[in-house]
Amino acid sequence: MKQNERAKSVDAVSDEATKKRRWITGEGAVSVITVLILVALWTALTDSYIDDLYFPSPMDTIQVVGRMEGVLVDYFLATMYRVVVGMLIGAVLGVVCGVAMSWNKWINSVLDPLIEGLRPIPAVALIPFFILWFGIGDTGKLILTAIGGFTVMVVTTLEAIKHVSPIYIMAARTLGASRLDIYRTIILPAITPTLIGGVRVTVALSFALVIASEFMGAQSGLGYMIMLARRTLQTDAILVGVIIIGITSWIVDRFVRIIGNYLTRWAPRSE
Amino acid sequence: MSAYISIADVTKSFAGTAGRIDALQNVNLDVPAGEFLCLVGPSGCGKSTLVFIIAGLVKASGGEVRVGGKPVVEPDPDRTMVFQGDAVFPWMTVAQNIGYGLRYGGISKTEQAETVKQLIDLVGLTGFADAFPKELSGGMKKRVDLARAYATNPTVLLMDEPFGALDAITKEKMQVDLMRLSVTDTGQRRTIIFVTHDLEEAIFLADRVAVMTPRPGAIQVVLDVPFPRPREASIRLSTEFQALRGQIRELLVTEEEEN
Ligand SMILES: Nc1ncnc2c1ncn2[C@@H]1O[C@H](COP(=O)(O)OP(=O)(O)O)[C@@H](O)[C@H]1O
Ligand SMILES: [Mg+2]
Repeated sequence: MKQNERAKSVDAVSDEATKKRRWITGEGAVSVITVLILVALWTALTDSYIDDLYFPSPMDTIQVVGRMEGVLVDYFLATMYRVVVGMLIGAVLGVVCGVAMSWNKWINSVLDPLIEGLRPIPAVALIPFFILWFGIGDTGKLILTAIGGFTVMVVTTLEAIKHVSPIYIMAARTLGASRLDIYRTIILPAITPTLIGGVRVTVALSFALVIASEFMGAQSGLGYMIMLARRTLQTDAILVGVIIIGITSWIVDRFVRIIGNYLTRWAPRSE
Repeated sequence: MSAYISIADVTKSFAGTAGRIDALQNVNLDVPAGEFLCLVGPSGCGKSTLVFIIAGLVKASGGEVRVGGKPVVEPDPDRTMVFQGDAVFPWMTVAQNIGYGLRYGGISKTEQAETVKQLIDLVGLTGFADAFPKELSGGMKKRVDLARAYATNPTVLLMDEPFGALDAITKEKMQVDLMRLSVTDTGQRRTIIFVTHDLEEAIFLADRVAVMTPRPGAIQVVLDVPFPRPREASIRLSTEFQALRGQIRELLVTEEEEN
């Protein structure tokens, strides 16, 4: 058995070494080719069949970035601020409330009807109210995004806690851990992998909510920019907005995944 | 024979989805200090339930368990447990797992680290202190589990089919280690209740073997195991050993048939 294990680990090492030597893997190369074909197709189609009014060519799109530069950065930062801060407030409150609800049945009885009442309402439907109450500044948008993240994270947290294997909790109890110790050292780490999944959903939702609320009333932000561009039929500016949102959302998700992988480096993975 | 663990008229029923399940009915058993008692019985007869009650993890529906004269009301690190399933915390390293019970024992960090280091060597996991459980084999994980249960230096060890999932060779090695480790720091023998469905394992390890009836579980009979210690692995082949094994097997089979 020992020899077998050693042989296996030697294999693993050489596998990793080959991976590092090659600057791109077979799968990576295929993905790059796919992207190149799409861009080529895009160029070809916008050059011939498709009117610039409906869909801009790659050149137009790049030019518009140069033209807008300063304001683009401002709008980008405004949107990012709303997404990140709103999401953080919502996610932290969601996890804290979820843990508190599982800790104490009275807290649960108070919060459960509130959450169950809030959950079926799509947060976007509340935007008109928020504009009425808070105007078109940041406050309403932050609260809206926070509500979205809160509902996702509170439900994820409660479900995750319910599914922590009782054997870990029993083991901790026999070793002298108090209830608080068990929450700190068993429940929190055990639910982390599920929470990471919830955070990734929250990231996507937060972008959607911020952009939607910028459509409906704002004086800055990528959603606001897209809205203005639509009124003046600047399809190239619309596309730039969409692409920036897409790339940013992907980067934030990637960032969450990297942090998540580090926090759950103990977890067996099927890869 | 004064009882260190005394189980008196313990009864337990569960409200299951298909009605009430009577798991244990009037279990009576006295275990003197320092005894190694093996508990055998048909599957589902309430062995795990009984061990959980002794640990203080589950409340009995009736009757009482006393350990060292005091009624058991909640778990205590002086009475640790090795579970049937894999209970090693996957998010902690080997060292953190083994030291888990020491965090709450009010001893200094350096002392904790020292104890953990000794235990790691003792169970043969030298060099794996910082490994996560996912990097260990089943047998190694069970060693972590054992070391963690030993760390608080308990007087009572409760073991619920701890080696049930291991291959025969690993299992034998673990049994020998267990015998070696079953004394406290001060040289006193721990009181051990060890559940198993492997009759050879039961006889090899035990001072006495308690045989349970099918559900609702009760103690059918308690048999003495006369072999002197230390025991060699080869005693399994002796006729006395095999005769005792046949006797216990007979008890389990007859009870099954009567039901
Ligand atoms: N939490 C529970 N809820 C309902 N029934 C249970 C529970 N735990 C155990 N039981 C039932 O009690 C009986 C004894 O279980 P257990 O103690 O695990 O048996 P053993 O360890 O001897 O195999 C079984 O019939 C089982 O289904
Ligand atoms: Mg069992």
